Amino acid sequence: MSILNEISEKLQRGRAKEVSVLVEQALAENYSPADILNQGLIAGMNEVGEKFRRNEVFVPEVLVAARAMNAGLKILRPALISSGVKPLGKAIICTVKGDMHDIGKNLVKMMIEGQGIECIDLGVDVGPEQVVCAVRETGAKLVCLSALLTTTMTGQKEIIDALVAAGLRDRVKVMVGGAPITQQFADEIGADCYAPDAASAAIAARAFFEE
Amino acid sequence: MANIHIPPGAAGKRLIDWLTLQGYEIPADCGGRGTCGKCRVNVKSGRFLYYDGSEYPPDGHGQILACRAVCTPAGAEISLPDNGGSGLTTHAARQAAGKEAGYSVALDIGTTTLAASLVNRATGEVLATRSCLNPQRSYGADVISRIVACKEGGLDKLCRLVREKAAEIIRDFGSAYPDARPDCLCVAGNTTMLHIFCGISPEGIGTYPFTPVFTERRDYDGASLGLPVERVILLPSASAYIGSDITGGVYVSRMTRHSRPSVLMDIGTNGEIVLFTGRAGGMRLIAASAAAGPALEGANISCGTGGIPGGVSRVNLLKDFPGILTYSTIGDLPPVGICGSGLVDLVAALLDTGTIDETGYMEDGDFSLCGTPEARGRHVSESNGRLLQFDKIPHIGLTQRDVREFQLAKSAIFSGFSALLEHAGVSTDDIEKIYIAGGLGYYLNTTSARRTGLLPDTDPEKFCVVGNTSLAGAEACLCDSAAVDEISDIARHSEVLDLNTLPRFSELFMKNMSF
Repeated sequence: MSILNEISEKLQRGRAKEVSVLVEQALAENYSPADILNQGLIAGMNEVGEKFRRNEVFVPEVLVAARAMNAGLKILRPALISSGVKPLGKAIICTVKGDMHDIGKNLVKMMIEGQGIECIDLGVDVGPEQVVCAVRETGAKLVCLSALLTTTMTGQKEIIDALVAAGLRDRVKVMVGGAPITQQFADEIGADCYAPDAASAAIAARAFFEE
Repeated sequence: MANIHIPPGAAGKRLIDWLTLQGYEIPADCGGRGTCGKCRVNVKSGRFLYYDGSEYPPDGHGQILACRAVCTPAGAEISLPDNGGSGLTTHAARQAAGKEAGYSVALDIGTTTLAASLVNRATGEVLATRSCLNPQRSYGADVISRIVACKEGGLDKLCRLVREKAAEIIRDFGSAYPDARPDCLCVAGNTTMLHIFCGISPEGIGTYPFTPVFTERRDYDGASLGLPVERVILLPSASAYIGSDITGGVYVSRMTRHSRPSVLMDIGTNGEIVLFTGRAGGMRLIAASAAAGPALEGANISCGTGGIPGGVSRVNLLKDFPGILTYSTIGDLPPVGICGSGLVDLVAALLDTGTIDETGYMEDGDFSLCGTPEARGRHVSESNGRLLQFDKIPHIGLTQRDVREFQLAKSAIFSGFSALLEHAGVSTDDIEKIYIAGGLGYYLNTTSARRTGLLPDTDPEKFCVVGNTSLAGAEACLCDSAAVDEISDIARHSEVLDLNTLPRFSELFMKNMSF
């Protein structure tokens, strides 16, 4: 097995320490940082995401895999920077106003980061002004909005409306998700994308930036 | 004296244990060893098994010993002999009885079910009980969807539905017991249900920071609510998600009288958990509510049902035949689906057989309990040692997705419990008693619940199933105004912990999804 496959395998099993050691070893063996990232870490997270979509693995396995990914990234980051590899893009993520749920949002964040996308987490109970500010300040091209309650899902519309009012709507893509959200609701409020689960969100996010 | 109805759900329990749990005081001088004969009860209908599993026919006087009898899924009607001081009253009501004359109705407004009882205030005696589905159910199964319905202009309609149902129940009691016309109604329920009952919008409960319009006790003139009673009392809540169903439960369980810490858990769509920290912990009462989702009520589960006739309520792994599962259904009817207690049993059994691994993965794919998706055949199920044969069994099974839904639900409840204990600096070993309240809790097999990680893996002796404590709380208050004051105290002194704002809860929630 190549060392990059091995990184992917260990990452899928959540072996953070072994992933770190293997990334160090791969760097020492002169693998390019971009290959280690794409064929090792991201390939591993993609496998995890696919299994998650098929219900074969669940949140705890995704969590430990994401931790292993982060452990590997920590070793790899200096090499990525010095070799000029940039993140695929920048995304903003939050749970909307009135809603304190952050578990689903964190899961989506981990999966999106697993695609090599930089994720700016605004937290929970986030209103339209905060999102508009963050888009201006960071230049993020993707906004991911989570809502877990039927009472708070209208918060997604308020944020999209605020982006329109601020003249930023055509500079960003908006992805929405959460238990009560449907494709129909996403269409109604003018979102660009509805993600039914964290793995689909990651795939959609990657597609946005590769377009 | 009124008959006591033994529900099918009591199957497998010793009759004396079931009666005691319901609050009946059954004398058993010999400690339930079958020698003193003090626990005789009259069998009116139905059947019982002897504790060794054989048939237990009543003696020449139509009596059996409650300590030797095991309830069956067929249910039964019994009455207690009118001697020896045994009371036909619920425990809480009896303790509080005798302060006031007259009859009243206690009402528990659950999101799913309404439960009511007709109470003699002078004796604390419960003359009759009734339960029915909450007529607001067409507006959604959970509290949040009811709040949305109110926000969208449905408040008047939802309010009228529940008041009309309450009026109907009161009138039914009145016509069934013309000499016991109730003049007072005491209502317990979750905070949202109480708001809607009063015609007050629960909107503030739906979004952070979850602000109810009221939590205190409320008193109404019955006519002003369109109810055929003189007065109506609503019991006090502690917060938006800790209603008077829970404050009443704290009162009824008497958990604050322990010197060591104790816990009350009400398991349903929302898992409410109350910790009493005990003397060493400063006698604090800390309450939290964990959103478990409706999986344990049968929703979101492919073959899930509520606790209806034909619901698979028990699943057992046969000891001598590894891997063989048997099940029993409510009312011994052909299976129609899996209810909450059956789901917990099934997951526990499949963990034991290795069909579900510790991550929740089913390597061999979805599991069929009976029937096949393709063919419908003859099937055998076990019920208290008796084999029942059914024809035309629908396919009932467990999918990988069902297991994932279950993992979310059980982790939310257990993580709520763990986070609450950690927050208060109490360890599970310190806990003296864990009271399990609510409809599902009543049927729950605590061994299976511990195996799946829904309940803490601690000494089984610590668990005490207490049934519908919300209704029992309302009954107690009807008989004794001191009970209302005590529940008000409980509501006032409860500290409410918001699990969503606790980073530790998220951590625990993710970790505890595994088995």
